[in-house]
Amino acid sequence: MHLLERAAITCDRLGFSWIAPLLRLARGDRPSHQIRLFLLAVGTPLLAITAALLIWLALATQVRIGNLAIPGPTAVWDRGVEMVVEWQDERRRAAEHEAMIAKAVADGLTQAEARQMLNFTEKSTFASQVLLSLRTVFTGVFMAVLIAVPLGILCGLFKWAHALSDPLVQLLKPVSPLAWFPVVYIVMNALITTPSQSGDWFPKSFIIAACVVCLCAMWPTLISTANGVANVERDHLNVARVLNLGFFARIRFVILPAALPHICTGIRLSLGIGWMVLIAAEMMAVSPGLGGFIWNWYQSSNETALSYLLLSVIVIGMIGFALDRAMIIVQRMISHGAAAQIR
Amino acid sequence: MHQNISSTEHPESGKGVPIAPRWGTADDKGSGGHGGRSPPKRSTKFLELINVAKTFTADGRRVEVLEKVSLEIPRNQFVSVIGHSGCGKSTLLTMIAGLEAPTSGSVCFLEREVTRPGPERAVVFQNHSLLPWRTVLANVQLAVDTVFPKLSRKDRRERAEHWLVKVGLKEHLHKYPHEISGGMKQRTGIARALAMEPQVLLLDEPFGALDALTRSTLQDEVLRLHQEQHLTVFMVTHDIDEAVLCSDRVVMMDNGPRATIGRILDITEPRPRERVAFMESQAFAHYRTECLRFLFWRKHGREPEPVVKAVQVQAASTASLAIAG
Ligand SMILES: Nc1ncnc2c1ncn2[C@@H]1O[C@H](COP(=O)(O)OP(=O)(O)O)[C@@H](O)[C@H]1O
Ligand SMILES: [Mg+2]
Repeated sequence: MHLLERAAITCDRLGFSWIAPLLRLARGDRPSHQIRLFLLAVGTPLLAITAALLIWLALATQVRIGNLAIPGPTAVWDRGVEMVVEWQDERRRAAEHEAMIAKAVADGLTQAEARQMLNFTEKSTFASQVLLSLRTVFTGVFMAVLIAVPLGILCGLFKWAHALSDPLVQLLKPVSPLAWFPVVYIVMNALITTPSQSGDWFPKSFIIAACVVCLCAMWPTLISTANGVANVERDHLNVARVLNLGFFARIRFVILPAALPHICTGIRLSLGIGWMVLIAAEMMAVSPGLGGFIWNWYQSSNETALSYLLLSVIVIGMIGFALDRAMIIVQRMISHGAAAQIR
Repeated sequence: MHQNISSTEHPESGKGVPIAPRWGTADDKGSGGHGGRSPPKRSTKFLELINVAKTFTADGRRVEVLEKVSLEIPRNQFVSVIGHSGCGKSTLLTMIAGLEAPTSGSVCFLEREVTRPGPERAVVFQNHSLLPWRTVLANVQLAVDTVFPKLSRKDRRERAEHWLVKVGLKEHLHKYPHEISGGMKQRTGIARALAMEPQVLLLDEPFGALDALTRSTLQDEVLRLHQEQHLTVFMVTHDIDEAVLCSDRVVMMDNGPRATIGRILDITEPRPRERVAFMESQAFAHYRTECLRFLFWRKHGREPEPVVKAVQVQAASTASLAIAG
């Protein structure tokens, strides 16, 4: 098969249906048809976004609520640019600092001495806060998966395990992160007695936020995994039995691969919930993540606060969308044949 | 040829039979010279179903599927089971495989009761049941790896490839099940079963979903493998031609519920069989008619003739019929 066609099929399969027509166009395959497909795939979302921006612009310029001015798209865009510039400045400052240390070391100081002398604390920027938030959500969801997948397998395999865990799951599943937070906060404060330092890889606020994410995000993975494991095709289980596969071999070669699409769906849901929960958890934990950023602007009486808050809303939305897309791609990559249709 | 095991008759069906019919009981030993060739030692029975019954209980309702099924299958015999759908053919096969336990009675393999599945009784499932996340080769490889863990990696790989080459899939080793045709999937299923080096091959309507051409090719292949590998084959089918063409004995099941073996037809055509010649012969037509008549009668609720009769067929083969429970 032609390389471009193969790439186009892969794009289609992974959900990049707007790239495929471009690739086919490059091959010269029915150009007008491909252009139409491309416009349909790219044009409609573009149209929707443009319409939304126009309505926003109209509202911002026309409507005033008391003495509150609604920041328009341009104001928010400016904030975004400001954040990028801030980030670049900080990078430059860090690079300069490193250069100074290198110079000091060349002049005969040891690394440690030089670092102590040229004290430098990296200022937290919007970009670093976004990165921290991502790290927190991945840590939380990772913990959730580590707990939920084995439990889910157990529940899917054994009726008694399901019977035991189901009431608890149903009870804990609807608990809001705001209810979990104080519990986790008190427990973690008792557990971690060393005061957290700014340079710490795992500051306390990070751990608390990650734990809240984990507690709220594990349920979809648990339920999905249990469903996937319980619904492995009878024939496939019979194959394992005829082969006399042992317990762990059965799980490794038959049950896990068969349930993998379900597990993936669960993780995708968990990641979505985790990302939503994270902002609340970070706000309460006063973590220097996105939630902390929002909290700070919420607390400030600065009249530009609203534009910063709107910027973070948009960034949160875009990151959530990107995470979901990424999970869909993973899901499609691991599913075979008929299972390739992902809802 | 097969020591008239099948022609054991028992007088009456249903209740009141004092002794359960058993194939190859002590009496049979005496009838050695019957088939013309001196029989092998009968002291160890190969595969034996003794008065097997199966009742399913689903949502509080009991379904008595099989009752008083007794059958002995000597080594290297090819036995087919036909019967109307839902009469319990698959259930019988899963009990021989050890996937289901009989409610009463027992399945014995080499004189030991079957309690669980094992690679010496390999199953080819009706809908191939290949693992869709593994390539053709990896599917067979899993069987080889688990059944022969002591072999070296290279030997195991060679074995897996060997069986796939044997069923004509040399070109498709690295494809996934959804990338190959139904016939190829079924071939892979057969290769996987054979890779366990089983003594008994259990086939559940193996070619049911295939077109006629593919089906006949695969039948020939299974027949060849049966001869070559000295396999004992137990095949469930709904295709009478297939049953007659392939088998040494055709077991005809009564209708359920509480189905049992209605009749057993010996196919004495020597092997290797010439497909076209055999299918055109009068003997074939005769066997076929017998099966059809049985199924017709069962479908319309009338009993088959109440007497045992031996029909002389021109093609120098004798069909012994038995009417069982
Ligand atoms: N696991 C099961 N639970 C309940 N009933 C079953 C089960 N398996 C089979 N049966 C019933 O047993 C009968 C025989 O089924 P089966 O052996 O599949 O028939 P066949 O293969 O001859 O078409 C059917 O009526 C079916 O509904
Ligand atoms: Mg069946």
